Formats: sequence, C-alpha cells, structure tokens
Amino acid sequence: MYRYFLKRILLIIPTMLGVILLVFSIMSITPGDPGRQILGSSAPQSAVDALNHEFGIDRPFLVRLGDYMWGVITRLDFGESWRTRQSVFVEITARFPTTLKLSMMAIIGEVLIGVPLGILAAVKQYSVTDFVSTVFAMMLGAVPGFWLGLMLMLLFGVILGVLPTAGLTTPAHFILPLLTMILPGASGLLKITRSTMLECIRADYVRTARAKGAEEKSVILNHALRNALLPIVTVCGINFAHMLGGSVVIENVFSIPGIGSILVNSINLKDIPQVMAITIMFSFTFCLVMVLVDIVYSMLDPRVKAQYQAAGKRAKKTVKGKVAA
Amino acid sequence: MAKELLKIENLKVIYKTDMETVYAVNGIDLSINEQETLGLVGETGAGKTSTALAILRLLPDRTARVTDGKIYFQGQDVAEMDDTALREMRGGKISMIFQDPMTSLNPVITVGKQIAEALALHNHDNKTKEQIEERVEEILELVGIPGNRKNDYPHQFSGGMKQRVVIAIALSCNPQLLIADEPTTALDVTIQAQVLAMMNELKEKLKTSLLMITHDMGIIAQTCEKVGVMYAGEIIEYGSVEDLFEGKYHHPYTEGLFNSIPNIEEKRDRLEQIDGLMPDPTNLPKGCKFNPRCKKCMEICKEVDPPVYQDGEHKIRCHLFSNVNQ
Amino acid sequence: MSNTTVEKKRAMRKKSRMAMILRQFRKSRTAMLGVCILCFFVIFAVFADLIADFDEKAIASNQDARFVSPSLKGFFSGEAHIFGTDEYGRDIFARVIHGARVSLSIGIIATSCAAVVGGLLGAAAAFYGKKWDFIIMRIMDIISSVPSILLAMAVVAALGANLANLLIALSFSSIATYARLVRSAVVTLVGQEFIEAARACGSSDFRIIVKHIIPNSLSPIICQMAFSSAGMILTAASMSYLGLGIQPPNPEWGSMLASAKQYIWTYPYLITIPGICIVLSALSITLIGDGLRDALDPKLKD
Repeated sequence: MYRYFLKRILLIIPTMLGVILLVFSIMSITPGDPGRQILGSSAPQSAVDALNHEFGIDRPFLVRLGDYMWGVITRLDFGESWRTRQSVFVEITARFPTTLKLSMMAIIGEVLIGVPLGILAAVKQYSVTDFVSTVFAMMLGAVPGFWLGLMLMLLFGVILGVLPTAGLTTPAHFILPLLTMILPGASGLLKITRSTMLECIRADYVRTARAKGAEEKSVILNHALRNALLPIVTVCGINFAHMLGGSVVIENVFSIPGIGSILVNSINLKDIPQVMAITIMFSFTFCLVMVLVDIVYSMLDPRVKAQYQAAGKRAKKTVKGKVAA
Repeated sequence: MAKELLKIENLKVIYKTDMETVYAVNGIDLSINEQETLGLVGETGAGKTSTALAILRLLPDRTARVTDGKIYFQGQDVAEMDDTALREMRGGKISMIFQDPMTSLNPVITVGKQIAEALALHNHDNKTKEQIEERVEEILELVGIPGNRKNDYPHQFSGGMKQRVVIAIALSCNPQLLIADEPTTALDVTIQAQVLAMMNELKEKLKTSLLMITHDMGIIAQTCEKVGVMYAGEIIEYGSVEDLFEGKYHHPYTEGLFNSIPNIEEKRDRLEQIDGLMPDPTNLPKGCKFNPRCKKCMEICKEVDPPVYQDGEHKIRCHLFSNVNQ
Repeated sequence: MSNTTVEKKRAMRKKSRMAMILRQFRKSRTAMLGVCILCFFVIFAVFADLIADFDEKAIASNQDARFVSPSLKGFFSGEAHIFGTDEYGRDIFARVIHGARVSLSIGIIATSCAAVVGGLLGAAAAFYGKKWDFIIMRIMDIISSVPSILLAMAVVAALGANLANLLIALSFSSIATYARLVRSAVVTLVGQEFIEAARACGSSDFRIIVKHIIPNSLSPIICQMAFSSAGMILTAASMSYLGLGIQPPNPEWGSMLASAKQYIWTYPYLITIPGICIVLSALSITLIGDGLRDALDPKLKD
C-alpha cells in the first residue's frame, strides 16, 4: 500500500509538468507584446524591443517553453518577476505562509462548524434546527465570498464598530476574513454531511447496531458517521482548493498581505512569470491536498484500502478520476 | 404448559408519507412460548418484517407508527419501556437476524468489533476485555468461522459467511428470543441448508425461542412448531405445523401456496399459481383482503370481515368455514 | 379511494417521462420559488432597455444627483431613484438591471460553452476509447489540477480583461467537469444491457445515441449545468470585483461593488443592493437545480 501512495505522490510530477505546460501556453497567447503593455503606448519602440529582448519574449514559443521547463526541472527556477526583477520565489515565500495559515485555520473552522451542524440537522430531520441550518446553508451557498466579506465588514466594522476591517496585525484582524472564508465552505460541508448522514442513518447496519441495544449517541457517531466520513473528506479537499482560489478575492477585500493580493497586482501589471509561479504553486498545493485526501480515505474505509493495496500491487492504474469525482 | 415469552395483541402498523398511508400490519395476534419456534410465512409485503421490527421498536420512527395493539415481552409492555430497559431488551433478551447480510454489517468496522460491541453492551458478568475477545472467537467458531478472522472487515467475507457473522452477533448474548427475518433469502441454496441446520442446532443448544420469518414453506416445515400465514397484514391461518401441512381445512390462500410448490410425487403439466397480486396496501379491499384473488370468493367475502374458524389451536380467518360444525 | 381516482392514477402513469419530471418539479415549492425569482430577473434583463436607457441612465454621469439615497419619491413621474444613485450620479436601479443582463448571459453562455465543448470531449474520449480516452482525460486531469478561479484569472491575465475573455476564461476553467461527467455517463451506458439489446435489435449507432444514450445521460448534465451557471455568476462577479472581468463604467454587479467599496462607511446601500442581486440570482438558479435533481433522479431525494 505504501507503494501505492508513493506512486500517487510521484504521479504529481507529470501532472505538475502538465500544469506548467498548460499555464505557460495560456500565458503565451497574450495578444500584443508585453513590453509595449508594460511601458505604455508613448514609449519609443526601441525601448519596447529592448524590454522584450530582456524578458526573452522575442524568441519563438517552443524555445521559451523549453527554456522555462528546463529551468524548472533542473534548478526549480520559475524565472524572475518582471516587476521586481527578483526571483518569483521572493514574493511567494514572503506571502504564501499568510495565505496558507488563513486557509488552514479556515478549513478547520469549516469542519468544526459544518460537520456537527450537519449531523444535528440529519439526526433531527424536519426539526427547527434542521430547517434553519439548511436554509442558512442554502443562502450562504449563493453568497459570493467577497460580498459576504463586505457585508461582515459593514456589520462589524462600520455599524457595530467592534472589529478591524483591514490588514492582519492582531488576532482580532483574523476574525472577519476567517468568518468570510469559513461560512460558505461550512455551509457546503453542512449540506453534504446532512445528506450522507441521512443516508447512513437509514442504512441496515445502523438498524443492526440499534438492534444490538447500542445507545443512540454511539449509533450515530460510531456507526453512521464513520460511514459518512468519506464524502465529507472529499468535500473538505475540494473546499480547500476553492479556499485557495477564494483567498485571492478575500485577501483583496480585507487588504491582507497574502499571495492573493500579489497575484491580482501581477495580473494588472502583466508580470507574467509571477502569475505563472503563483498559479503553479496553488496547483501543487491542491495536488498535495488531494493525495492527502486519498490517504485519509484509506484510513477511514477498509474497502478503499483493499482497493489501494490491489492497485499498489498491480501498479498500473491511476486513481485520478476517482479523486475528482 | 410452557411459559409465554412474547405476546402480541391486535397489532396495527401503518407507514405514513406525504402522499399516502400504507396499512402494513392490520391487527395480528400471536404468542411465542419459551423454547418454541413460530414461523411467519407470507409474500413480500405481507407485513412480516414490520411485525418483527415493531417488537424491537425498530420501525423507522419518521414514517411508521404503531396505531393499535400491545406487545408484551415477559409480561412487560414493550411500548412502555424506558430507554434503558429497551436497550437491555434489544440485543440482550431479543435479538434479530436481518434479511440482507450484505448491508446489515457495518462496512468500516471489523466483524470482531461488531460482535464485541454487542457483548460489551450486555456485559452483565463484568467480563474483561480479554474475556470478551475470547468470547468473540468462541462465537465465531460456533457459527463456523475461524476465530482468527475476527480482525477482518465484512467485505472480506462471502455472503454466507456474512450471514453467519450476523447470526453470531444475534446469538452472542444468549437471547431468550431470536427473530430471524428471512435469514436465508439472500443466500445460495446449499448455503441456505447449512445456515438453517446451524440455526436449528444452536437453538437447541442455547434453548432460545425463535420467530422465523420466511416466504419459504420448506423452511417452515424444517424449523417450526407453530405457523402463522400472513396476508396483507393479517394472520389468515394459524396452527401447528401438522395443522397446516396435514389439516382438513385450509384458507384458500394457504392452499394456493401449497399448490404452487412443485411436488415430486404428482404429475402435473404446470404449477398452479395464485392469480393477481397482493392488494395495494394503501387501498385494501373491503371484507376479506384476499377476495379479489380467491377462487372460492362469495358475495359475503366482499362485504364482511371474515370470522375465525377454530379447531383446537388451528385458526382460519375465512367465510368458507362459518357453517362447519366446530 | 374511489374508482375514478384509481383511473386517474393509471392515466398518470401512462404520461410521458417528461410530464412526470415536470410534475415532480412543480411540486417542489423551493424550486418554484427559484423559478419565480429567476423570471423576475429575466424580465428585467430582457426589458432593461425599455425600463431605463443604457447610455443615459446607466453610463452617463450626472453630477447634480450624486449619492441620492434610495427612495420612492417621484416614482410616478419616472424621476425616482428607487435604489439611489452612485458616486457619478448614475441610477443604481438602471445599472442593476443592465447588470442582470450581463450576469445572466454570462451564466448561460459560459455554462453552455463549457457543457458543449467539455461534453464533446468527454463523448469523444468514451467513443474512440483507449488512446484518445487517455490523452483527453489526462489533459482534463491537468486542467482540473488548477483551482478553477485561478485558471480563469490566468486566462484573463493573458488575454486581457473584457466580457468576451471573461466568458472564455469561465468556460475553459469548467470544461473538465463536463468532460468527466459525459465520459463516465457514456462509458457506463455503452456497457449496459439495454444498449446491447438495442444493438441486437438492429438499431443503428445514431439511433442508439439519440434514443438511448442522450436521454439517459442527460439528467446529471442538466443538474450540473444548473449548479454551475450559479457558480459562473458568482465567479464572474468575483473576477469583476477584482477588476479582471467587466470593466467600468459598464454596469456589472461585481464591478459596481468594487467601486462602491470605498463608500462603505458613508453610503452602505451602494454595496448592499448589487450584492443582494448576485445572491438572489445565484440562489434562484441553485433552487431550480435542486428541484431538477430531485425530479430527474427521485432516488437522490431525501
């Protein structure tokens, strides 16, 4: 089985090479030349040409691609930012920890809020708790993160005036951005927990557990929940990916010096190497999280574990499709 | 006379959804004595499983409701039991073998732990963990599974083996009453015979009463002492196995059931069948519930609920015998 | 129950599957609520030009009427700013309904493009098998390894920020979902007995596809389309908020919010109204999607 996971981790490499190829190709279809866009329309043509030459974009696509890939593979070199003329890692290493920290805290918050409420809603189906939490989850699912942030800002920062609304300097500063990140994800988690729990509560093995004389609490937690965890874990993984993307927006709303704000800046300033590096970085994190989800799967469900063991022995198929499904 | 263990009086169960009301059990009476085996036989949807679930109060609480009747276990009203008493009864005094072994076991817990759970829940003589583990192996071996397989998960067992595990769970706490709900339906014929033989043997050994629910007359003949034939939520014929298999009079439905079993000694072109289907349980016919399918149906059958003809312990709920001298 | 109701029930069963689905759908109160809200938006979006002139009301600035609070004053003379005016004195109501036009078309167009392109790719992968299947699905794996909003941002970063590029970006980033969905639907269907049976009866491939595969694989795709058009509206708004979508002064809910953010302390209605529009439109589509899912696949209903 460890062989399987090793293979799963190694499989990230071709996927990431594919991602690099994809992102590089997308970034190369820019109409017009970057030099002109950076320097503006009034700059002399010679200066534009010089800048283009400096960035190496006057060379053919395949040469640039080969060069970039070679740099990545041999030296893990993702190039220099066109704006700061420093390695793209300077900005990333300075800012990624903030984003990661926020996302981690948010995913934990999501689980702590979404899962228990989902269980409660399922156990007390058609009760007031169920109704209220389902309606809230439904509404929150349709709220764009940035607007939720703005509304929270309006409520707590402007009307009540109790919480700071910009930056990330004190613990109090974390509250609003975290709430903004947690609430939509938690509502999704609540929905999936509720529906899988409803399914599991009606399963035959739960009836068997009741027939044994088990207490209701144990029936719900030991029997139903353990079986419902699989889809919950999947949704957590997907939520984490969403959160990485969403953090770009939230960081802009709350002026948080994370990686998201630098990404938007870089896009506006046409700093293509920086945009590529950040996108690839996020994708890499996403892939790692998905492998982690797989590993957690096998710990939760012996059937999946058996499958992986078989797959590890055969060492043949990828399980990629299953992860996304 | 043997002591009465379970008594059901006029039990009625309905399933209510937004759309319709299903009348699953419509007033049945039965009783089981200690160390006795009662069979309930009938088609799918006759209300057998609902009756069994009602005994353990395991009916799905959102849709199902017991609208009338009483269930007494050892003289105690099941509906009046508090949580502790109910849990003590479930698994401890009455345990149940479910229909489908494929889905009755929790897929993410080892079978050993699933058996141990039942033992730990009804641990009256304060067994230690090690003793419980020992007992788990003992029970597994009792049902014919090597004890060292207790650390395996359900998906590693075949269907027949899973049913043995289910039976092991049910027997682990030496219940006074075992309810077996179609314990062999999901199994191959060869495995069926093994499982039945094993259950018979265990029943003798552990002196357990058994409520055997099945649609198979053969199983009834093999295992039961008394039989109730259920149709549309009613017991339409009740008696000892002898009454049922050799008695003079029968309910037309029971006759139909027997006629649809192939007989090796008789030469026939094709098997007889009971025409039609079970009545729609949301919309049961007036009078005798069997009247739309009955070959001997009379006018009165469509209007009046049939009386009970009684000959000793043999009871038949049919108009045909209302004029027979009792 | 009397005989007539039984008759009715029988007649009902005979009705086509489509009618059954519609009946199921209409029975869901939340889905009907969604339809009502969405219709409301659609009506305003369609007749936006009749209700408020685009250039005059939604674009041109009017320095005399900056930051007029929402009120019904002058409602009958057509002078009212029921949602108030913004920092350029533009009528928010006019901008909101023209924004509805943009948002709803983004939802519909981007979803349809993604579904068609992704669906064709998925179907091709399933039909042509082995080599093509491998190539197409690996590419889809790679596309879905990039969080979708980031992929959309990358596309916009490369192409530039405007409506057309936003549409391309949004559809591109959700192609993989549809490719997977269609592929798995087709693959499982092709192996199934009733397809074999149809083939054995001499049906042509075309007939099999039209009569069996499409109707049977449609329901998950329709549900996915409903849910993803709600998602598209949200993503489009987020992108515009970041300045990566519709550019000002064009009215779009997200970009309206972006320019309103600086007035959060003084004129909070500026950020409230467009946001409510986003939520209501996305919510209505989600409700419809839920209703459709329940109607199309009763098994999934709780």
